Amino acid sequence: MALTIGAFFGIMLAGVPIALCLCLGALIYMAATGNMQLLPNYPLQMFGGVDSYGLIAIPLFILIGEIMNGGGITRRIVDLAMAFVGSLKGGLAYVNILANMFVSSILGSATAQVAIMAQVMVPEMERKGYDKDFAAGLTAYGGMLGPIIPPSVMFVVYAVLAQVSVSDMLMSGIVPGVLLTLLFFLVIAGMGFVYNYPAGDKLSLRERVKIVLGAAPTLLIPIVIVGSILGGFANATEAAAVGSVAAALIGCYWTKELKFKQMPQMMLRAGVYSAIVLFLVAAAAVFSWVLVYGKVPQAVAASIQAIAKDPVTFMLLVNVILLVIGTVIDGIPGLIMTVPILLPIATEVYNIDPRHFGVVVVINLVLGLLSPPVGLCFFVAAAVTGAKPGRMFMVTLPFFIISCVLLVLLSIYPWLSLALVK
Amino acid sequence: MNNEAVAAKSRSMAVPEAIVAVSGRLLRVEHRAIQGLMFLLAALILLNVVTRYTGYPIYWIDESAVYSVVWLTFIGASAMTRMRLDFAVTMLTERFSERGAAIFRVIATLGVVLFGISLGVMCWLWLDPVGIAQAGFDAKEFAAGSFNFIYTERTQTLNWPTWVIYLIMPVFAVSMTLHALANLFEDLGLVAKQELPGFAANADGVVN
Repeated sequence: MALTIGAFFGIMLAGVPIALCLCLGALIYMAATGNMQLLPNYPLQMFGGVDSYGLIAIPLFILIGEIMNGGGITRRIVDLAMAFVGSLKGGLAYVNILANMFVSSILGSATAQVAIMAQVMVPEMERKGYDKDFAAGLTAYGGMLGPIIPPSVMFVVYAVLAQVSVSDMLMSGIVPGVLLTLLFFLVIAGMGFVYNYPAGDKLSLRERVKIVLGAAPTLLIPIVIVGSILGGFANATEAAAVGSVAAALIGCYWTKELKFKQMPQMMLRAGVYSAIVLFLVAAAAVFSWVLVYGKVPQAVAASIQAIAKDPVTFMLLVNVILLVIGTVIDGIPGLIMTVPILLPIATEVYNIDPRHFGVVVVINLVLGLLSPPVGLCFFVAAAVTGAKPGRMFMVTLPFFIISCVLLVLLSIYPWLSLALVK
Repeated sequence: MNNEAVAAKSRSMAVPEAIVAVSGRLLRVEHRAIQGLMFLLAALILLNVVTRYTGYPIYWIDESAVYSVVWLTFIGASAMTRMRLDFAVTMLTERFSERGAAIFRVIATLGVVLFGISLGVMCWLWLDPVGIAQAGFDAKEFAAGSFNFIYTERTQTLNWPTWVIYLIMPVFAVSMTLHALANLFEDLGLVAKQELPGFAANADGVVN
């Protein structure tokens, strides 16, 4: 096993794609342990990894994001947030987070969300006198809500890895997502007081009503997705398909910025980006097959049990381990590598609800996208706006700390994640 | 350089160029297949919603949608190999000099070639084309002799032979190897870098 682990990290650091590191790692293990009789089963294990109904939601969720990006929906959502909280002290900072919360109920990925939102929010905040690095950093934290509030690509991947209902997993992100938004508001209020943030423009009631009416149809997308799952009318996959039709219709007939001739290109991009995630899931299937053969979860469980005697200590320990892993490895690959090892320990040794565990793991790995040295969301925000990633992290440190506070709260109180799950 | 040396050099260059050309054509076919599968997937799920609500559910839709996603996964994974869109840890390699980074790029691409060939070998062992041919393409006789039931199984609701669906695995092994070889020849400087259909961002900047 030591040879496999060494070879795995060696090829990963050499820059071999992570999915193939998992696939090659499994092959090396078979060769090192003389289990060559497993070779003919290998392609079937890989095929079986993606032979799952729940995964169908992923291409559809990514497609909704592509449609939203091309459909002029973002601008209207930002205006909507402006109508609600724009006139407060530090108004644009609140608008940034609130608009991100709305957008995250349409988009399922943090990095895609940061790329879209940074283009709109950062120049606007800069014009109002906010520090560019702060504006970009804040948008990156807003993007964190993308994979927490449904739809979420990471939750679907987790649900399939953990063999729990995709709908349940998506619903368990709602309360933590809203709670994180409120905690971010608290930080903005505090920082606004200390740094004397400018107030936003005052809007008349008539203007506000006009904006809300103009943006209202865009909120149909999250209502369709979340409403149909919560109301039991559709499963996550069906909700995603109906959501993508709603997004296309709104883009074509309401905002009128989407053209049907753009659809083939959007389908192609959504298909390729989905394949990137799905292929990782296929690779994870071979990887966990080998892990089970090598009794790795049992070995890790034994050493963790020596340190953590109760579920809360275990969850806090998991948070520390994942925060460290998240600094180097991105969200979905991190999920693929850690869940097959940690989940059996959580459910079998500590009797932790797999959905609750999923929420903590996903939020933790998303936070990893906002921590150096590989803070992917900061890099995306920097690429779009020209801000500096290192300084971005420093000027938004209170948001990192409050996100850690949320993780501790979630680790101690499982009902926060399970409140909306039947 | 005399004429013979020039001819030998052009002969040795012909193989990399041919592979890069085939890989380019294959990528275009894969793009069309990905678009088609995405349309098919969305249409199947929407049809499912409509038929379920009108009280006439079609029982084979779910299975068709799942297999569309499986094919999408492997066709997409092959395309992304050529487009170099996959997730990779670059925090070490990007700190090297240009030459050092180029060497690591070749090593990483060799890893992809190695996996493609290995998967091809494993698919050969799994599908055992020689075995089924020796059994006179009689699936039952082959299964009785080898305990490999791949040619007798059928899918649950579509009732298609499963080996037809599984064919995506050997196809993926071959196409991925071709794309990885094309990448390798580019990395080694044997062929000029090809212009590929543009994608604005790479993987980790989009899906996390």
